[in-house]
Amino acid sequence: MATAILIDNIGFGYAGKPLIDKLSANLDEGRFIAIVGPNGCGKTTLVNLLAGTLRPRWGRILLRETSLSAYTRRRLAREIALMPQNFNVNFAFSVREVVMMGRYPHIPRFSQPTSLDHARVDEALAATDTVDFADQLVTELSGGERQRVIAARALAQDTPVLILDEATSNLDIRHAISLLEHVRKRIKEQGRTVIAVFQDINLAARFSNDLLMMKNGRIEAFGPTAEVLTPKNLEQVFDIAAKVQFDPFVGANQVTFAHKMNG
Amino acid sequence: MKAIQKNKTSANPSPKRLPTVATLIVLAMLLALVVSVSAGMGYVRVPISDVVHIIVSRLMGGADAVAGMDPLFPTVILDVRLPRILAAALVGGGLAVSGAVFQGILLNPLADPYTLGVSAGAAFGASLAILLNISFMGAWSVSLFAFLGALGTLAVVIYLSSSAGGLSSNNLILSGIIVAAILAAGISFLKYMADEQVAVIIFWLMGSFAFQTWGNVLLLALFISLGFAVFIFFARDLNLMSMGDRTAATLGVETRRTMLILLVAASLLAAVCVAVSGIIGFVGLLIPHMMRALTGPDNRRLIPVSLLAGAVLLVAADTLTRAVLPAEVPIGILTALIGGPFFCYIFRKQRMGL
Repeated sequence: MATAILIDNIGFGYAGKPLIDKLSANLDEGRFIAIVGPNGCGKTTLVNLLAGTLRPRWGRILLRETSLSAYTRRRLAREIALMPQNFNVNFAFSVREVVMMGRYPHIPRFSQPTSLDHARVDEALAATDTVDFADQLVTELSGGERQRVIAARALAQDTPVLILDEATSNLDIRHAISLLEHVRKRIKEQGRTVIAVFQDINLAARFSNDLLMMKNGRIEAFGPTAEVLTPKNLEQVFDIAAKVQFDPFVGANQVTFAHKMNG
Repeated sequence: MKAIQKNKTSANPSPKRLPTVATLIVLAMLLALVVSVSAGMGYVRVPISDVVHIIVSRLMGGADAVAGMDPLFPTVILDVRLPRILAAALVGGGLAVSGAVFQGILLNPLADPYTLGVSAGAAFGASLAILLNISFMGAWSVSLFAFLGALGTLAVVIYLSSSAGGLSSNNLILSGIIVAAILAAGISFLKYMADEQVAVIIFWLMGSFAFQTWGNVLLLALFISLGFAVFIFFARDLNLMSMGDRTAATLGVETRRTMLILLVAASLLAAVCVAVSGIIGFVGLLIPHMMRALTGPDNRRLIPVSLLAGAVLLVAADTLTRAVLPAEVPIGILTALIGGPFFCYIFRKQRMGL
């Protein structure tokens, strides 16, 4: 299996407090990789490093054997798309205009969008169930609707690597599942790579091929989800008692939690 | 099928918005009209047909078009009124595009060209030059000092906010407020020190287009064309910047570099405008705001439309104070008196959900 992103002993932090500490990992192509961990464990920092919006203080990140820092922003934007969590817009762009921004990295500065660009935008609108308000202003939408628009923008970017930074956190369960199904379909059909940060461990368990557990800026466990998602690992990372069971209704392992009893 | 889809999406981005090209043509015609009418108005009335003949004959050569009219007319139009009118048009356009850019990079529809303290810096420089009677560059001394004051302020504000943890919108706005507050105290002190010159300082601070020369017009035209070219080049990046740093970076913008270029260009433009005409408020805030409501927030449309609308507005306002009102009211006061209440009106309307 080819490597999509190689993380080579990276470190990052502000003034003596390491947020990411000597972290190495090999993220394979064509996989759905979920990242979980307690609040403040460095998930978002890692995502920012992978997306190239932060640069590691030590070590390096290789995308297809080339260091991220060697890419121009524009070239990187054709390789990696980021679906962020929170999103505020101060300006009244229409939904379609915002989604079209995902195509900017592909369109020369002074050119008009081609029919391919319009087609990608339409696909992204359809995949996120935002067609109905495509011509409304983003400033008029609810938080969840706006998050779907941002998801559509990242899909329209049409990159080999897609990073979801808690991108389903504000979505209702139906839209969360259908977005993740769509993303998984892209992996299967087009060999894309997805890296997704989750708060909801059961969504991670259901959709991911690989699971990366983080704590204190380090990797606590990383491997195929079925092997890594164990009560022992969950207790170690989240400090909580957990039971892992195969759920035939979901078709994947699911976790239930109890408050940890310690003496 | 594809062709239909494309038409649907590109011809009319949203039902509420005006088509760009038509808006630009209407505004350009409006500007030509306002300039011609304004040139005819004043102490010596010149019929509009004569105004057009004088301008056309100057542009195309051929003196016979001017033959039949009062020999005073060409002098009044070309040497006295047109420099003033064109300076007003250029400053109006310059402040409006500068405001549009500031609002985009600071992610704040309430920002204006003076948010980073450019006006306070220019006012301080000008007050200093007037107080100390600096005149080594003749009539240009005050303008030069105003320009240098604006540049110095910009440098301090950028230094302050980048050492406070990066050129974020909040850092920049806060640094601008701090520096402007210090300068405001400095200006008050200079006024306090100045005896007879205090009237000159106050007059300068309120802004005026009296005493404009063709030299000023050329200088303004040069700076505004350069600034405009920079803004149009980065207009699409500015769309992404207005969605936030992280988004812009992941969509291919070299955020730090683009931010710095746009900040410096927009501030330089505002500094030149202030140096030439004094502090004229509200144009840079209102025009981009109004135009955004008409054509949408896409800067590739907003910037050219704002340029023309700003020019129309300031020429109209300057004509009002020069030729309509019984006594000349300083232009800065006029724009604030008209612009302020109008702004309250649209602000309220927006808050109430438009």
